[in-house]
Amino acid sequence: MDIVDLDTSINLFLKDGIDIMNVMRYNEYHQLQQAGIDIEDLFTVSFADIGLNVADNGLYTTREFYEKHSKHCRDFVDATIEGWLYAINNQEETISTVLEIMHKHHLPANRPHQKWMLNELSQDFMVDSSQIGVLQKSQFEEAKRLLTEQNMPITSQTYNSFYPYAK
Amino acid sequence: MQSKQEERGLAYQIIVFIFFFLVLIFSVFIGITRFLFSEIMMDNSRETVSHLAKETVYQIEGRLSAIVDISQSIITLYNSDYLNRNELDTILNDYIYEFDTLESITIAYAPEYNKSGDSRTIYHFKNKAISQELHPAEYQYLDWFQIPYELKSKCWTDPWYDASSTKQTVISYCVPIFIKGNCIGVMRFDTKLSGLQRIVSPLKLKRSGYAFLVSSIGTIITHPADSISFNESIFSLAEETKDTQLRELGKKMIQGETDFIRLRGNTIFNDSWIYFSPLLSNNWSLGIVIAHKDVVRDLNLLLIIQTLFSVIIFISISLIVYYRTFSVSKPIRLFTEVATKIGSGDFDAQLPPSGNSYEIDHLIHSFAVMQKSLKEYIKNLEITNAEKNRILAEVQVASEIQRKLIPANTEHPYKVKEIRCYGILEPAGEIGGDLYDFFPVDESHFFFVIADVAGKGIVASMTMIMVSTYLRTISTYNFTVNEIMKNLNNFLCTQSSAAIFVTALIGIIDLKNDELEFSNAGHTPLFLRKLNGTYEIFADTHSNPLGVFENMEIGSSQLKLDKGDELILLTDGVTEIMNEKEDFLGIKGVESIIQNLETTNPEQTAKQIMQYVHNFAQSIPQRDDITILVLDYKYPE
Repeated sequence: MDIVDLDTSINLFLKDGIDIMNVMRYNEYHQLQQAGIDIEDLFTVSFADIGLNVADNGLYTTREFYEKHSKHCRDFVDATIEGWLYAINNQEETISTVLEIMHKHHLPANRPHQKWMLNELSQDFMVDSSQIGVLQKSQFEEAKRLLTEQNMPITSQTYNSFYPYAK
Repeated sequence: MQSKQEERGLAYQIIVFIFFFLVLIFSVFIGITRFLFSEIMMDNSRETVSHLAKETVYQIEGRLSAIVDISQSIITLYNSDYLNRNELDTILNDYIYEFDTLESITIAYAPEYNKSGDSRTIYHFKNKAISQELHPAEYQYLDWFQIPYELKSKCWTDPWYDASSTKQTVISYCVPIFIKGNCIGVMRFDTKLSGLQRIVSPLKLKRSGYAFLVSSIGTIITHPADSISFNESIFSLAEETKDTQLRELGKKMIQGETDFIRLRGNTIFNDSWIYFSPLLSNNWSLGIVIAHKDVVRDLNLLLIIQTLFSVIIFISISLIVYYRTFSVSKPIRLFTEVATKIGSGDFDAQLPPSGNSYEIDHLIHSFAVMQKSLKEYIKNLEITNAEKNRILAEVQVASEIQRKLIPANTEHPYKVKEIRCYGILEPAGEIGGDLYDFFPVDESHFFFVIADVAGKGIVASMTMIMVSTYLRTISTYNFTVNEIMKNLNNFLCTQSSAAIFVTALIGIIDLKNDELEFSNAGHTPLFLRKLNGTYEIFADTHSNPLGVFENMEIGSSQLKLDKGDELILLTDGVTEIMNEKEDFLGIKGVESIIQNLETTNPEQTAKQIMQYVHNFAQSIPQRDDITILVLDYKYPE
């Protein structure tokens, strides 16, 4: 079995250049549907179902930068969370803004797909409304364990060191 | 009232009939036209768009083929060992300069084969040839490189915006480069998307028809709406309106099928017909859209014309029928007036001269004949009426005479103190055939009779008069009752011309000896009611009815009378009267009446019997004369 590195395009899969690919549920999974493939025709393995539901996207910086600009960092985090909440609460406006920017940069974009993306991300974002923007220790430890098992580079930091917001 | 008359008018009825008939006919006609022509127009539309699609596909294929041909030439040059990089780039520049369809050429090597940094894009900007160096990190995961490189086959990309060099939305024909069987990179030939749009966009069909191109994964490549091209796919449009029909259509398009399908959803296509056909070189699909209203516009126009035509025909026919019916019915209206006059007695009313059709003429002629016959009939009727009135007057005279033959009711007839008498005669008609009579023959004998002449009317009446007169005459000769009866029989047999007979009961009371001798010739029995309320019935007859057999022997009976005995004599009009159940009163009924009498003189008895008879008959009309004669003898005061 050969491994082919991909960026974000699903076209190699559609052209039968590859047999299996990993996709984001909020993005490529829906792009496949918008290319005429019915969900029933796909064999889908969800990462969450096989114990790979680990922390992914987040805001990262160097300790040095953080210690030098800790207030800015905290403000940045707060602004990011506030921005997401605004986007979730004003979805049509958000989608229109995104579409406008994408069209301006000649990137193909359509409203149903952006709506799908925002909807999926909203669900992930709001999975626990009392813990928005919080890195859970259990997820951190699970990610470390999985990366260690695969002999992949991993930080030696502890949870509290890696995530100073932890309480 | 006037409007009801108009509704029943001939013109109105014919027009209504024609209206419904024409509505039916034209509805069927329009339905058939719509059915047949819609099929034809669908076929025509399909035929038209299929030709247009083939022509357009041919043009697009021509433009794409030109790029493919160029690519083959350049690949051949590239694979030759005669050219160094600069010479090759010069030739590539020449190609780009020479062929408008070619926007740029890119030679991109896989990272492991790009050691010397030869990956580059050659294009023209403001008539200046530019060779732009590329780094594998910029392109190795892009579709135009990765797909042909991994598949090791030529392919066309979807439209993409070349932000790094030409700043154009292009589609690219990508050819893998092989050296000794190893794929080392990809050569890319760009053509502007606008070039294809110039072929597809001008396509106009009917009023709102247009064409669009769909890529092999459903992306809409060209569309009259700029915001759709390059951004939307046929499936995103279907998803936005949840239109499964459009999604199925999209699947057919990317599978390379050809079809002509009607969409009815709320997508940008609205209610349209879409013809789609594949481009063989790159598995794209060309769609041509025609609004359904445009497809059926001519048919609808035809149907509107047909409907208007129908209305005009109906109005024309209605006017013709109205005026023609008015004209035809004019003599009928005159006729109606004449008929009304004739009906009110004016038999000389003038008929209309003639109609304007054979039927009307025939009707006028027939009516004239009827008018003449009617006049004659009325004349005859008047004569007959006069004759009838004369006869009626004579009958009334006869009736008067007959009534006068019946003795008047007085308490003691002819001042015979031993006898009290009361008689009632109710004829069924103007004149009757019943009679009764009583009178003293001499100082010691009192005669009475009750008789019924068979039948009614003049003959019965005249016979009754004959019998009455004869009895008055013959009884003065002091005959016995059987002799009187015998003489009466012979008289009737010889004198009566008609086959007529008479029933009679004659009695003579011997006032000195208190005896009654009576003879019954086929008549209703004699009832003898005693003072104590008991009664006797004498039902035996002494002969057949009179007037049938001449010289017939006739007997008689005697009986002793007590003081207060009451003799009750009836005709068969009493016994044979019927009630509503068609039951006769009969002798038994009469006996029942007599049993219940509580009367003390003949008048009460006669009237009470008559009352019972009427009560029995109720509303049944009387069919025969009813006669009751009651006498009592030496009633103790």
